[in-house]
Order: sequence, then structure tokens, then C-alpha cells
Amino acid sequence: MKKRGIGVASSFQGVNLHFGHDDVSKVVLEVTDEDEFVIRTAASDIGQGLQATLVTILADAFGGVQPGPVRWTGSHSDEPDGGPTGASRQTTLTGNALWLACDELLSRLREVAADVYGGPSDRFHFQGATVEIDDERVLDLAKVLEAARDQGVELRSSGRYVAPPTTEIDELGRGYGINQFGYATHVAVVDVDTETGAVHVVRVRAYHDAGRIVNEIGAVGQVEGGIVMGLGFALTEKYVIEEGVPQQSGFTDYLIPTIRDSPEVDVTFVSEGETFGPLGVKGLAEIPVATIAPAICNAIYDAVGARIYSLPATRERVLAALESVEP
Amino acid sequence: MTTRPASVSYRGPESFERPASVQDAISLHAQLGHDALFLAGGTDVGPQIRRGQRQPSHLISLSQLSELTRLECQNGAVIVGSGVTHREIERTSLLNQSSVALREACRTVGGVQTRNVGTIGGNICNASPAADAPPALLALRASVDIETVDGASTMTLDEFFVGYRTTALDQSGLLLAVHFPLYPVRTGSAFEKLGSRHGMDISIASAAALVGLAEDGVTCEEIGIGLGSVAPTSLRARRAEAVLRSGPIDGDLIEAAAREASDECSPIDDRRASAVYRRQMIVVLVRRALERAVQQARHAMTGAPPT
Repeated sequence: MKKRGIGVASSFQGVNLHFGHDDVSKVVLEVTDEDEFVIRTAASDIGQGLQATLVTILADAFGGVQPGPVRWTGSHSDEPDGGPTGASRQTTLTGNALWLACDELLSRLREVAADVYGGPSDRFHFQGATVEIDDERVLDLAKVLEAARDQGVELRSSGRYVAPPTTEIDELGRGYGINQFGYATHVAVVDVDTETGAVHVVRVRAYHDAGRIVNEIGAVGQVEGGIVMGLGFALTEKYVIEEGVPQQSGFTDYLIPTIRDSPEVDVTFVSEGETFGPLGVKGLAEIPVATIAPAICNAIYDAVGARIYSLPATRERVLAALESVEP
Repeated sequence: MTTRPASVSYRGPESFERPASVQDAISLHAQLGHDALFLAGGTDVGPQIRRGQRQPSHLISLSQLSELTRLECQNGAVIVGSGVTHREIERTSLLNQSSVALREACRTVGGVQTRNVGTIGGNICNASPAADAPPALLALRASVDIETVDGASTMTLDEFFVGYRTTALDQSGLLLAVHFPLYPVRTGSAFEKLGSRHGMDISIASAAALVGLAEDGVTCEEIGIGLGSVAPTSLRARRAEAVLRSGPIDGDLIEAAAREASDECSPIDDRRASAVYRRQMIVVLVRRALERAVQQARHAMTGAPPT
């Protein structure tokens, strides 16, 4: 028979570089003679979607619309140093650095526009490839860029963002080792087959505090993907080493979840925590993987009264735990 | 199955042959020797060669042999050529409610990509004790047609499984087809597989049941129970079958048959599960398979939907 249970778990994870490491990123923003926007950074997109995030930030700076074709130089080491892609830091560090670079460029463009069309410079609102004057007239951005070139104004700006400093911690853990944390709470609904110990995760509600979300599709995907990974950690990824030899040597034996194991996932972003920089962002990255496993174990307990203390919660382990529950 | 690196001296098969007929295939194999290996979909053989578990001197492709891809009904029997893929079996309209177990079993083999290419003949001849189709075929009381240099013959599927990963062919002939009766209307079947996740799984234990009811709806006229992953070969649970034949079918009798099946299998501990767990699961899986098979048989009788 199948018994259903609901379990909740919360977690937090430190983001950005820790323990006194300098955490800096620099970005250079250029507009080419062909009105192409180039984001110069050596930061890497390893699949987490940094490129899309940076393009979104640029568009955001231009009133929510991309101002023209955008290119980035990610992963090229002779470009400005974005620091490592790790510690869930790139959106915060390189994102903020880009924002500052955009800010500087837009200031300059406002000055140019004020010069040509009359001030004050705050009557100009940049919206994608157009510029609004006093919410009435609309200009082509191209005209402002041309005017800038005519005036010899450099269409090249830079931004440098430094995260609040951290320190080493001493042997008693004292210090300011981590400057920011991401938070998550997951609610998992599971069905447990009381005869076989099979656990089916039916549905997950994921709540994440990851600051302001720049790339919603990317962020939701990050949480969904992390949950499926965490499912493997919780239920299927048995990894046994005997006398130094791993007993699982391929995906036939090391079982990662399939689409059939994946639950329905609803993601809600809660943005109330402390964030850094003008963008108000915070790293999301790894936290979904850790949070789902304890939520599933708590749901198993809710369903059948059995505690799981060893992962993965294979069918056999769940059945054994179930059978040892006092009636 | 542990992985060993392929021996350094093995460079792969010397040739890839494509005979045009069953006769050619068999004589070619006799000619090339015992290390020549027949190849159909390659979904077992391919990974085995790569892992160094098989080092065939030659590969003999069966892809040109249209005789092996027949899928038809003849004289009240379903004939499935050894070259028919799992996907074709999944989708064929030839199976009726009495052979649902085979459809269900084929549907659990690997993923769709594997099923599109992998054949029922390969699943049988690879003779893994964890193979999915054989327990269903055993429950359906299937027989196999084989052909060697000594001629053609037919035997039951359980006679065909001679020992651990060994068939009566001993790699010196071809499996041509597997066939089983299209049982009458008062018959149902079902297949239950327990894996470690919800798909693309090698089974921890599996069970298939075929139940044919007499007109009274409770007497067992036909019975077949096949088990997987709990013995050196796919296993026919004859003692369990005898229990079910012994009285009117009710919950207690089904439970007794399931326990007997659990008793007559011989599971081992391995990285997927322990023997104790497997024995326990056979009781559950056989019970569930029998219940569903009976339900289907009764549904077919009365037209009432299964509860």
C-alpha cells in the first residue's frame, strides 16, 4: 500500500569568496562603431547562465530592453578579470561590476544628449535602442552614439565591484568568514510503498531567498535541476568503495534520477534578505541540491514513521527502517 | 558485472559479416569458429565488447535476415521472430489481454532508444538472470525455435535456459523465434518489476503471472509464473503454480502461491539488493502479478472494469 507524507527542510549556504580572500570583479563595456555592445570580461559561463544574466543586466540598465546587438568575451583570459566562477559569486560580482560600467556609460551618454538637445541630463530616459526626452519625444540611440563619437567621447566604460571584505576565522570560529548566505526551504510530498520501500517524490515546493532574480527562467531551471540532483543524493546514488575500489563503475550501476523520477516542482523566490551592490542580487547556485534530501527524509518519516539516517534511502533501507518502527 | 579493461592485444573483430539467410549465417558461424558472435541490435553485445567482457573474433550481423523479424499470429499462437525489437512488441496489436505481461515487460527494457534497436532474441540469448522479457515469456509458457548445424528444433523456454548466462544454443546456432498461445478470453497476465528507480533499470526482482479461469471464475485452468533476478536463470515457479491450481482462487490462495514462489527461488546478495530483500519482494511481486492477472481474466469474462 502507498502512504503519503509531507516533509520540510531548510538550509543556508555561504556565497562569495570566504575567509579573507579578496573578492573583486572588473568589467569593461564598449560600444563599437557598428553600435554593437561588447561586455568585456574573463569570467566563465560554465553552464550556469552567466552570459544570459549579463545580457539581461545590460538590457535592464537600458530600461529593460536590449539596446542593440550584445556580445561578451567570457572565458578569454586577456579580458578584465572577473575572478573565479565558483562560490555562487558571478551574478553578484561580475553582475554588479557590469551594472557600474553601464551606469558610467549612461551618465556619459546623458551628458552628450544634454549637450546636443539641451539639459538637464536627467530628462533623458534610455529604453533599448531609443531615448525618451521628457516622456514626449523619442530619439534613436544611434543618434546619441553618433553625437558622442563626433564629440570625441569614449564609448568605453568600466566597472569594478568589490564584495564586502571577509576575514579568516580562528580556531574557535571567530572572525567574519562569510559575508553572505543564500537560504532555502523545500517542502516535499512523497508516496512510500509500504511493501517494497519504494519512495516516489510526487511534488516539491521550493522557496528560495536569492536576492533579486535577474534571469527567472535560468533561476527556476537551477532550482529544478538541483532538486533532481538532490533526489539522486537522497534516493538512488549509492556509491560504495571496498578496499579502495569503487563498486559502481558506470551509469548502469551508479543510478542518477531519470525524468520519470522527477517530481513536479513549484519555485517561489522570496527576496527579503540582505544583498550587496547596486543590483541587489545574491548567489543562488548550489543550495537546491542540499535542501531537497532532508525534506524527502522528513516526508518519509511523516508517511511511515521511519527515520532515515543513511543515504541513499534505497528501497531496501526504507523497508528496513519501516519494519523497525514500533507499532 | 565488474568492468575489466579490454585486453591490450584484442584489436576488435577481424571481420563484420552480413549473411543473407539463416542457413548462411549458421554455416558462416560454424566456419568462423566459436569466437564468432552473432549481432542483432547490439545493445548488450556492444557494451560487453567495449568493457572487454566479450572479445569476438568476428561479428555476424543478423540485420539482413528477414525471417527473423516476423511478428504474426498462426494457428492460435503468437510468433515473435528473434529479430523483433522490444518497441515493436510494445506497440503491436497482436497481443491480447492474455499476453499483456509481455508488453509490460518489453516496455521496461532500458529506455526508448534501447527498445527501438534491441531485440527479443538478444534479450533471451544474452541470458542475463535479470532480463525482463523471459519471466513474462515463461509465464506465457513460451517455446523457442532454434536452428544449428544439426538442424532445427523446438523446446520450451525454460529448457532453453540451461544455466547462468548459458542457453541450449551455446552460441553455435540461432534462435529463430519465440512463440506462445493466444490464450482464450478468460485469461489475463501481468508483469511486475522492482527496480532501484522509476525507469531505465536493471531489476532487483521481477515476476510475471498468467492466469486462465474456468467458467466459474474461480478455478484456475491455466497458470504460469515466471521470476527474474532471483536465480541463476529466469525461473519458472512451478511449485507456486501448483498451489494456485489446488483450489478456488482467492486472496489466501494467491498469498500462499506467492510465498511458495519466494521459497523456490534462490536469490543472491549483490550491489543492487540483498537475497533476503529479494525473497521478500518476490512474495509482493508475485502476489501483485497474480492479482492483476486474475482481475484481467475476470474483466475479460464479465466486461466489468477491473476494480
